[in-house]
Amino acid sequence: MEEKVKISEPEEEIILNMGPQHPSTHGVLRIILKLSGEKIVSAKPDIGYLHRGVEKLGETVTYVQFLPMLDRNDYLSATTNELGLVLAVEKLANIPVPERAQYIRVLFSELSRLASHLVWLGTFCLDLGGALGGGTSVFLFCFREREKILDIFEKMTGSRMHPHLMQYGGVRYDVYPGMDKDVKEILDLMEERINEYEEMLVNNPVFIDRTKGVGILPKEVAMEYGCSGPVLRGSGVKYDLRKAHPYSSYDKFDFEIPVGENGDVFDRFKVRMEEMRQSVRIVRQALEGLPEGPITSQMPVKVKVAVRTPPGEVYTAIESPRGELGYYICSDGKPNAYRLKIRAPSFSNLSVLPYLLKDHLVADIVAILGSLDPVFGDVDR
Amino acid sequence: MKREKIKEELKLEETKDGFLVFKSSEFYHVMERIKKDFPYLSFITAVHFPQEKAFDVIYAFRNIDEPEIIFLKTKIKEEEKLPSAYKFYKGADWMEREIYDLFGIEFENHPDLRRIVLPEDWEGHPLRKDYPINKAPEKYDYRKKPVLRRED
Amino acid sequence: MNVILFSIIYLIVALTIVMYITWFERKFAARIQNRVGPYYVGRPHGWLQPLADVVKLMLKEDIVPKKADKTIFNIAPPLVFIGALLTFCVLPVAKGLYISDLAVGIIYFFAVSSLMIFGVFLAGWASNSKYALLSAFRAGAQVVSYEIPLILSALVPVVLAGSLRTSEIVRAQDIPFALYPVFGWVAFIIFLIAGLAEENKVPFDVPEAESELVAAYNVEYSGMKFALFYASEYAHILALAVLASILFLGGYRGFYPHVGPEWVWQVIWLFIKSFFMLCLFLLIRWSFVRIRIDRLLLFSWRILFPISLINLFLAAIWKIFF
Repeated sequence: MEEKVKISEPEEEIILNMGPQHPSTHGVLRIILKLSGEKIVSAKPDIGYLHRGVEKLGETVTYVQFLPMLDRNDYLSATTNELGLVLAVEKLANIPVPERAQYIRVLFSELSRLASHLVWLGTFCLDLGGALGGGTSVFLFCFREREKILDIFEKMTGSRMHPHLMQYGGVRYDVYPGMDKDVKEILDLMEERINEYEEMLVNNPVFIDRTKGVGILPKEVAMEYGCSGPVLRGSGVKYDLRKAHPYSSYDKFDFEIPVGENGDVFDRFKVRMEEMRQSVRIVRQALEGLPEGPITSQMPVKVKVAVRTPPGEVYTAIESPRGELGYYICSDGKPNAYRLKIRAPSFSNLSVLPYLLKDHLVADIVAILGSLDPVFGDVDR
Repeated sequence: MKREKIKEELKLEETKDGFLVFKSSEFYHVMERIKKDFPYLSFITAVHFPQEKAFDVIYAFRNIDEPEIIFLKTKIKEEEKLPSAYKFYKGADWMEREIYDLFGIEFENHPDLRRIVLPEDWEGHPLRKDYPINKAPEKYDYRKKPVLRRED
Repeated sequence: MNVILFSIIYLIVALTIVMYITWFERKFAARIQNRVGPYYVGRPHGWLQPLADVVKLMLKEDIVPKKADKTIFNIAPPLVFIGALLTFCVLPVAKGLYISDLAVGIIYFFAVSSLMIFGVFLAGWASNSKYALLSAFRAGAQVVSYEIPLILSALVPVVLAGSLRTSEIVRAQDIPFALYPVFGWVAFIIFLIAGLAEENKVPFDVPEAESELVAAYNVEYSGMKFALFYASEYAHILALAVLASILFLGGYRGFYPHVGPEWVWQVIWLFIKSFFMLCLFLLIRWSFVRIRIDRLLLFSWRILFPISLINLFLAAIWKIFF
């Protein structure tokens, strides 16, 4: 069963235009495939269908106005988006952050990582299994759990998807009374369910068959392409910005960085599953060690120009669920950035797609693309 | 610290924010040296300065084994071209295409320099500071311009 | 005249059941996935959902792509549908209750159900869509690969019963729930797998792989033409489930009290057995992910084909000597 069926080379190559409207391109990706029978000769991704000019917007509106817009960028984990910019501006303007706020940031970053990975798991299996089949079951199970996490967001901030939780110098909302009970309930549930899903999928020979040995990404290539997050770690590089350059008091938390071995789709799957477990651990620690004190060093002011930065340049990066999410700000002392660059993890992760797809079968496209987990709000910006 | 080593070896100046400045004419030399210690390309970006008619192009590299990041910066004139880093880092492909798309900086020896996020017939480069932002967009007339184009 | 009347009633009942299989599948899947499924149309269980679907599909605009091969494009869906319906001719629902008891019943069944693949292939070709074309290729390769183990495994009961007549096969299974020797059960498992593959059902739904090929050979079809594909797919499931219960589970035979006419009990028994087969199909369908096409073909040629061939051979030897 090891080798593939040898499909004799036809003389003509088909050009197949996959997307931008396609059920499994996770948004609006278009891939121009050159096929020889079922085999992919070359793949050209075409992005930009969701380009909204966020970087230009970041230059025209003030920092305060820009923050809620970032929720729409990587819409599956909105809090981490905000956290990146908030950290960059705080570093440039030297705004202190109380420890309680830092813990709340960590707590919600990890909750949104859980939610984001749940969506990933669901859609990944949906791609593998098909909308009318086993895949849908996993998809719906995952969304059931995700909804519970989003309920916490809603109770805390009033919004499920776009919480706008961060603020320069802290967070906008303190934890509501009884939140630790709610969160602990979800964590207990999640621990159980993660094991359940992993068992269900890893013990499924069809799933193993579809993922093992497919889309192998060697270490060196992953680094050259600037892949980050689970994609990099799946290739066996033990690199996590939460450990490498700790931010927001991540150094006080005890967690491990899971790594893969071969860098195939299955390894990326394993890494993400393990990451979910680690997130649960971090959230538990954050809840237990939540210090008393103020949640922000600056009073919330309803003025657009509440934050000014001194002239200068800064780059901070955080570990979003998809990888290194960085913000480069070039400031000239005004309340808005002179230039704001978003280093999107999905963008770099997706750029490795032509390399990965070559010489695979059409059916592997969805598995490989799903394992990269791009969010197109993030890719196109 | 490998960053200090590189700084001394290549005799680079440092800005107050910790960005190392190199001349664009020494591009290949600098990249070759960086690649040895910093195998991970984090991002490439540019900043436009319309008064000086110049761009700052910023490169960020990471060292994975010992967590370290290095920022390089080079200044080029508006009409100048910059060599592509694709030879050293494959990830530069899309990053440079994005800069070409949004700033109009051309990269020499780039394998496939096309617009990436904007349509191919877009006029202007939006992230330049002289790009008009208050102009109403032109209505797209599908009868005059083809909606679909055939690749290859 | 009697036969014509009977066949009309037979087909109407069969199609109604097919309609309600779609409803049942949706409910079944919903239960697996902690959902409710159809609810509002015909509260509280969505009883009228299939009817609403039919009405919706009938009212939909019939779109024919500009560059499609129009004749073939229009012929393909009825061809598939006819292929699926014709299979019911040889399936007896009770003793003496059949449209036709052909002497070559089993062969006829597979011959006409192969008509369906022509329809699929024509549809894929005529749609002038690359997705549909790729899907038609896949469907062709898959059906060619899986038809052989399917027929070989169906031949085991034929050999053991000594007849190609479906009614004879049922009669040969003296004890209800068929006490075939071990070959019969091996053949049953192969029949189940190959039948699922024939069906283009998950996990063997590579021709239909909507996450890769969108919706495959029926991607360009809408309205009633799509409905024909859809209905024939489910009709074929039903036919296969009935055939499986006739071949392996003793068909309409079973224990029944001697109350009322005998044929009613026989129909009920057949229904229960077919329903069991159907649930088996659906359960597999809603709990697996899709197999890749190359592995799928290898599985057929390297595992199913030799096993079913050897199994048939051993069954024949057993039949001769015991």
